[in-house]
Amino acid sequence: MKALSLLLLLLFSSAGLSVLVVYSYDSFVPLALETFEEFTLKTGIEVKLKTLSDSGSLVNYIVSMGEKFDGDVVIGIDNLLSRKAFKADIFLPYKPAGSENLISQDLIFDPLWRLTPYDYGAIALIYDSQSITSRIESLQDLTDAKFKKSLILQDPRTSSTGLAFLSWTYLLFGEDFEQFWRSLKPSILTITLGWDDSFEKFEAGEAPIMVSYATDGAYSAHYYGQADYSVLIPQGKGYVQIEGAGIVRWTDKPGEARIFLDYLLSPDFQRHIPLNQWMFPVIEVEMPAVFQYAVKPETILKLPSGVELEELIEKWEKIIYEK
Amino acid sequence: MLIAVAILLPLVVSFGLSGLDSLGEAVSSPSFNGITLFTLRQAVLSTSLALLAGLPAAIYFSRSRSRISKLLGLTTYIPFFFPGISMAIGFLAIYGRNGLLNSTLALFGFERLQILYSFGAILLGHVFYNAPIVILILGNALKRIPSDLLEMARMDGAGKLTRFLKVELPLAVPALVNSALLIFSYCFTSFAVVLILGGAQFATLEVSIYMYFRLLGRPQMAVALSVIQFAFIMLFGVLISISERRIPFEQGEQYIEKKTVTRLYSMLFLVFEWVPILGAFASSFYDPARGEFIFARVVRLFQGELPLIGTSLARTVFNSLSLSTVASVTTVGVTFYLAWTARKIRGGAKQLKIVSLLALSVTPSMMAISYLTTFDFLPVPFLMLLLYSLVALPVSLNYINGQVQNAELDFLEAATLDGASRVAKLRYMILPFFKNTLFYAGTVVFAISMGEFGGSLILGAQDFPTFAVAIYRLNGSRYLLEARFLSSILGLMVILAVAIAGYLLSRSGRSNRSIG
Repeated sequence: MKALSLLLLLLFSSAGLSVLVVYSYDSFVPLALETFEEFTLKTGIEVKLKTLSDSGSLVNYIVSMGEKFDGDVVIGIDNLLSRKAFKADIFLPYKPAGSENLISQDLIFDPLWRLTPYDYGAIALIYDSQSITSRIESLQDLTDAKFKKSLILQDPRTSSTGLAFLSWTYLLFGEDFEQFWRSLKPSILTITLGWDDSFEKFEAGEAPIMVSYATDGAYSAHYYGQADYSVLIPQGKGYVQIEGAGIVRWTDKPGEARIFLDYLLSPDFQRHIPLNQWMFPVIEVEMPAVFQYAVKPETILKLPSGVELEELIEKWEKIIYEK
Repeated sequence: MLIAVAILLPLVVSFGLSGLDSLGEAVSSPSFNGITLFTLRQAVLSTSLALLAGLPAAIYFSRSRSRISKLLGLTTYIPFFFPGISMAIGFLAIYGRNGLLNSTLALFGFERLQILYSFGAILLGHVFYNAPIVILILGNALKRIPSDLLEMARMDGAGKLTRFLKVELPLAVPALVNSALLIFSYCFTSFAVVLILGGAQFATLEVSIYMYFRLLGRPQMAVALSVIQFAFIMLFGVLISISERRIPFEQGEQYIEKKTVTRLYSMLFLVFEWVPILGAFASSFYDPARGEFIFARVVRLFQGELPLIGTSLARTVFNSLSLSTVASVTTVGVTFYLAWTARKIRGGAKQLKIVSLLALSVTPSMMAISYLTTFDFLPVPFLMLLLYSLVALPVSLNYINGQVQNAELDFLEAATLDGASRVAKLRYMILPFFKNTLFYAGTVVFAISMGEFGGSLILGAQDFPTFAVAIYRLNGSRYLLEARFLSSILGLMVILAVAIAGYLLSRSGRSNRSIG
């Protein structure tokens, strides 16, 4: 048995170089492809990117793996998921060079700097304006029978976008949010584990409405030459997701990880955010013209710290699995 | 004994680590009732529909030797060999809003249908996958009913329907029950169909085990659900074994007669079964939503690392091929040894039945989480190897055992009298005699291992991605078209392996007969 194990290890393990292991969600790949090589050229630090479908799964994975988790840096933990991450004490505090250039102090969602904000954007409903001709003014409108099986959304247990949407509905409907979700159920076509999967299905025309970001009009204008996607932020009351990156507590490369976090706040990295992440950078950079189609909320809603996310998720889970 | 330990020990240890509290927590969690009831409901409905869909084809299969009947016979390979991931992706290509079916409907001015991501899609997937089992079990049972019995019924003036209801069906009830239980068991533990064709709003126990362990960071909940699922499947396994025992008649000659309605139905059934497979192959190179060929995207798959997987396509293929090959050699070796030993000892058949039942009562997700909880010090490829071997063990054991028990091996006694050693007998007589049996069983294990992805996703998604896992990861992302192409390649690899093995087996069967 021992000999076989050794033989298999020898057969299957690849000789590895010392590299900084960075974890993120699937849709981060294009930005990584565009920037990480430049980082390596400048610093001599090689970066190995590993992805798990979406940030919710990523945080759960890190928590369940504990010190066996092999990442040095994690990118993509947003202001909501950070609560779970902080509770599990995953990240080391570090205030990166360049943090003084943040465009707003409101972006700092952790005063201890365990997570460094690197981009932000408002959650919104996007819809294909060719298929949906009637006007949608509120989330409640979506519960209308004419929108049966029309909506793609993300699982709040695995996806940061899904969790942000769930929180947004709580902020808009208060204690009636359970009733809203019960009424919304017939309108849901499918719930995906991550945003990427949702967007692929939306683009393939499986359903005309999707929970996504208010910047998707810019994406549509960039790729299709026109803003085919209409964006809805009901009554202008939006929920803003701020994404952060942090150094894993048990990394054995804290020095390299700090240099990497500095890089995330540098103009070299930040200027690639708009056309890859389709989010807003956190420092001043030149914005592409298509971002004129990005919708900004008039009022930004914030989830009070007293609201227990686990309770919201449990209630949601019960409603979704009720048959 | 060792196999029983390999199955039960990790389950018991992982449950022991989680404790009874976790079982209580699982049962009292808000979603537990919904998940369990959904698992049961979809299994009951899927089984009923699969039986209804498969019955007319099974009747035709049993009373005809036509090409259609032979094609129906070929279709029975689908549930056992065609990878779940390839099947689910094939469904996306055919039944999606811009899939082959809807594009055809739109071409003729009809409204597009919303088929996928619904309860109906799950049922459709299960009928597709399981109706061929009805042909295999019930069709073969009907085929074995002695022709003189049916001839007598005809001469007594019984019409086709009366004869079917009063003579054939009562005789085939055990086979009907057997196929129903087997289908129910498969649907109850369904993974790929529910996960890919349904969405996160639908979760069977098997899907929930994966989600709680890998995505939701609640391993105790996953272990508790595994124990509950194990109890359910064990019960089905016992019922299946009981139903297998009751064969009420001796095998007879096939009764052939003209069946117009079931023939027509069988043709439609073949379309239903083969269009998603062939259509998926056809749509692997073309994106109907964007109206363009995807050659450039396919070429990129072979350059550098696969997106999201962190390793090259060649490496994932190597991982799958090497593990499946080693699993196939190991499993065939172990099952042949078990069958050979059982032949010689009293009560051996019973012991084999228990081993088979135990292996049937565990699912890949359950085994994967119990291995990770219990044997996390062992290398991941070794755990995957163990998992593949266990998953394929019942099929390999049933096939090899059947061949070993029925073989006439008088020549071995003569060899013993001539003083041949054990090794010599094994090398020069036993292994050559069972060469074809072992080769075919090995191919079956290889095919099952290549397509396995539920357990692989839990065990090796990060450290040791297989080809099937890579396809699943790409499918759930912005690389759907690449996943579609690769899933066709996987389907082709498996179909080719099984077809070549089947061909070699039939050729050697023919040559053996001609020698005899």
